[in-house]
Amino acid sequence: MVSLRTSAAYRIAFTYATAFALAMLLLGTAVYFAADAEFRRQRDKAIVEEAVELAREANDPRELRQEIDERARLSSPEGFGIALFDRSGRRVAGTLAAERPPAGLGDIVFHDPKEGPDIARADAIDLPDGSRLVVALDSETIENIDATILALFGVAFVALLLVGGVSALLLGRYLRLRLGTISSTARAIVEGDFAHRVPVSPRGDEFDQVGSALNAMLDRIDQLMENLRQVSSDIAHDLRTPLVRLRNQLELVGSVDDAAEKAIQQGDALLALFAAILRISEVEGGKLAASFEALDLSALAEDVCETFQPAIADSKRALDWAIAPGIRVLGNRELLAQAIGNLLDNARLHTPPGTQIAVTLVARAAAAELTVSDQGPGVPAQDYERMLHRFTRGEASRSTPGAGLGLSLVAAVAKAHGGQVVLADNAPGLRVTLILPVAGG
Amino acid sequence: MRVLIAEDDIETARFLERGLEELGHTATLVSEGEDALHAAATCEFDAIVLDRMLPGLSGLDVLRRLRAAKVRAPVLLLTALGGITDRVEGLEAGADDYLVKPFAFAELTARLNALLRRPPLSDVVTRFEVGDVTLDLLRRDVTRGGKAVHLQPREFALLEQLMRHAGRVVTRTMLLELVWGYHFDPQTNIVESHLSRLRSKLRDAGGDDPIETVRGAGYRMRASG
Repeated sequence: MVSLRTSAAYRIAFTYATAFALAMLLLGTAVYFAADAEFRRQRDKAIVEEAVELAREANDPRELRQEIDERARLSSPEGFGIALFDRSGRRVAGTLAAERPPAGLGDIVFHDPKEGPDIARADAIDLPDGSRLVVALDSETIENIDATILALFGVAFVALLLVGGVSALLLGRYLRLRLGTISSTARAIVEGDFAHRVPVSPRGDEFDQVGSALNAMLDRIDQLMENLRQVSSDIAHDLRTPLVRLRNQLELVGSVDDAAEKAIQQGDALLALFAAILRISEVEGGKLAASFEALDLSALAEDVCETFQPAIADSKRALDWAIAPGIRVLGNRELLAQAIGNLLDNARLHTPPGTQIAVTLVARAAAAELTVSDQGPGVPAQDYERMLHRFTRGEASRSTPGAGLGLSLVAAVAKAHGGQVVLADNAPGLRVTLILPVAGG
Repeated sequence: MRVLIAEDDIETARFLERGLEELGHTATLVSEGEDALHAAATCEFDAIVLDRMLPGLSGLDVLRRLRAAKVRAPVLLLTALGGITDRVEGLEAGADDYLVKPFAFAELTARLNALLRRPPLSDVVTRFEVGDVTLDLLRRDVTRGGKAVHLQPREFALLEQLMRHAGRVVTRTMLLELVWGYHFDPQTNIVESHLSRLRSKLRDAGGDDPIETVRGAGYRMRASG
């Protein structure tokens, strides 16, 4: 199982989410400072304009004072604070509670009736009569706006982190799902389901393109394998036809000549070899799974033992069997019978008369273990692996009949059933175990 | 009897024709799928020997069309393909028997004989009597000259098949298929060993061996023994 830490999909998604959050943080900082500066500029402009407008009335000091008092009366607490100071610094009009500030634009301290001393932005203009007009705006407004912007960005950033994190998880999951269909297809093919293909959606995105490319590759491989099968089948067919004719001709003369009878037997041995090769190819082709059914392996093994027992007894060897009842597997009845038969053929062919041959069938965990053991000469352990391959035989058995295909068929049958064949020393003799998965277990 | 042989290999077809005519049958040869279909539809044959790989219409297609057209003549399918799925396909297409090339001529005639004299499906036989041997499928007992003969299940099944085909040759591969359901030939002589036990039990019950070995062909239950 891939964890969040090791998954490339999640890593990519989280990296993108983090990069996006950093970009958002930079943007937020820039916006905050730009907005703050702009608000201050606008505020200064408004103060100066108000002051200049009032100063136009300065020709008539009485009217100016009336105007100032009128505006101060109408003004809201967030509005302009206005005051007119005479030369001595005494406030002669307006409500702004502050000392006479120096001329020009600057920050002043004023007395807020609710909050006490507070900072305000003020513009002071000297009028022709020597008095000083002051227009001020409480700085709190801008501080409030700054705080609001900061709060908004804070909330947006947290939301972004949440949304980014969740989408990274979702994106990672999506990537893994899409990649998962590809790897599950590969696994299915490894397990022998050659018809499996990567599902491709009509969107045609990158994953679909990879899927289509993989499918095209699989189709090509399938086609090559099919060609190979076709060629093998054609060779088998083409070689069989002249052999059939040969056999027919021999049969026509066979009634008068004993040598022809021998030749027919040799030909039949050759044809049996063909049949064995084709049967192994068929089993290894992996297309037999469709013929599998749930069957009673115990009954099948018992049947094969009872079938072989008289012939093995006739060849002066003894066959005993101990079969646990009711062991069921999913498989092809004929192939399993042939595999067990091959093991018994081998035990009889490669042991001297008088040998004891034993068959056991037990269920161990989820596996059925069918063992054929003999007390014959056995096989060196280094030959075990080789013996499961086509045409290889133990050195000691070169002189006995058989083409060395018996065990390879057993191995192919085991593999087709999801099992395996294990060779072991029976001390003395050879012990061959066919291991098959138990049905429904 | 009349046999239709649909086989594209001329030599094999001639060999079959000659062999069947020597046995007193009439053989009609065709080498293509369409011809086989036409011949089977226009004339009545007692049996059809059909090669699976015919040029044009394949043997399986011919077989399916024949069965769809209610042609009931028994069909023996010949094939170079001995695969498990190939056989199932052939039988599902409506073949009565399936013979993998190459085969001994005796194998073909034994199987044709078995197909030709096969009783209709409605005619269920549960008791056989050949000479002084009787076999009862329901009571699962065998007697010879009135004396009970105790047989193992496979010996019983072997005797049943020989008695079903009494007077005719039953080959070793037919017995492997009919008694054991094996479509492969083990290297161990399982048929011979069971048969020899059956024979000795029948002899012990008195009289000669009622089963004869036909050299190069198989075994035959003497029809009058």
